[in-house]
Amino acid sequence: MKRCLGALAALALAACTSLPPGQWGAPATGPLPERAERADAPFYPQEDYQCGPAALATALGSAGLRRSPEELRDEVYLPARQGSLQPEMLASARRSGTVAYRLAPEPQALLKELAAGHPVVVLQNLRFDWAPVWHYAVAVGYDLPAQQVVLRSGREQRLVMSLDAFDRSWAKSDRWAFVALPPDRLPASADEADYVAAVVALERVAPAAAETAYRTALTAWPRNLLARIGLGNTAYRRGDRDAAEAAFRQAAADHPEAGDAWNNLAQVLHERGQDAAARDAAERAIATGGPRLPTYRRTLDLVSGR
Amino acid sequence: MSNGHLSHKKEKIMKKSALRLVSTSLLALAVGFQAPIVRAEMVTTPDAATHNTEDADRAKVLQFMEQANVKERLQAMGVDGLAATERVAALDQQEIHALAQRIDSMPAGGAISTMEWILIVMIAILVVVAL
Repeated sequence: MKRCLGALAALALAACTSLPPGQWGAPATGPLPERAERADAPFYPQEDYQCGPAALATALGSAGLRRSPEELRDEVYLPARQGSLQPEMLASARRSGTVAYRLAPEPQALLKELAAGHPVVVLQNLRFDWAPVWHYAVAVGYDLPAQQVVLRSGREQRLVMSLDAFDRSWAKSDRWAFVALPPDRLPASADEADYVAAVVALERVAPAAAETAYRTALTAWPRNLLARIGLGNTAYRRGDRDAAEAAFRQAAADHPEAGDAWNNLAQVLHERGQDAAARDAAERAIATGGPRLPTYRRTLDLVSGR
Repeated sequence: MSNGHLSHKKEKIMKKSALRLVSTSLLALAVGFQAPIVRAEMVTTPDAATHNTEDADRAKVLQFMEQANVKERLQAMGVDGLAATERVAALDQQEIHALAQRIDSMPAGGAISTMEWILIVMIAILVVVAL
């Protein structure tokens, strides 16, 4: 197998020891199927050291986005380091319009995603802590009775590794892993705050996809403030004041202490010509105080025509 | 001297806001009277997010310091409980985040471990430096 460097991982891990062996048994929260595999996950044989673009293309292809490793190479491959940095892998997945969600560094999270049919990009160290050989691969399935993981890796379309060997190589990267999913699909192992944070990162580069993903988050966690504000902001950005107002209203109703929600509601109401209501909302924002009080004051000035 | 400098600054700000007013009114005129003024004092989602995590980080550090055994150790090092809480509020976002992350990475357990000792000393140093 050709080597592939994750330069940043090497830096970050210079002083780290490996994690203890992970728990690969069935989780307490609910039984997993004994076997799962995304047999249709596309395979791109890796060229030279370019495991990053190949792994990313597999993950995006499984999410329904056809992007070739050649296309992705410019976004994630650093010729001088012969490798791809982890943050760039996540950023490139976002630029393609998927939610790049980092998994909790534990086997259960990986198994849950695979059981849901979500291929997982993993970072492995194929050698030793003191002479690392970093490699990105995509886990596409597992077989618990046989204690195996199935990967798209390097030039191998269906690499079967024992759970033990895989876990040892993966633990050396502190079990770094992510899924790249279409914005209407929640990761099977999603944590509320982590998922919404991943969508906020997506909003910067792909606001339309982020709007869908905020809806996905709100279906799972209807009272999440940040997702509700994000939904309002993305609707506002696309010029849909109805949707923006509805979102900010809901956010302020669910969280009366959220100055940001009142502030943005005031803006939208003002732009719709409802100045009295806008002033009320701005005053509610100011009453909540907080670090953005100056912004709220400017909003009040603006909507009062001062 | 400093007064002159200040009033100069004020003048600059006033000029700036006057300019802004003129340009927005021109824009409003150009678009027609019905068009509202789209002047964004909107709080962006990333901004809303920093606030949230910063608050959560601060709460985490304070909660850690509230633990009876931690409080005791801090006091033994000469850091008074009430004052320490106030100083945590004064630490900047990065310091708070670093502390909160360390708390997260600690194994949960009753007895004070080496990791926790290191953290307690770190807090003591940060808080004393912030005096």
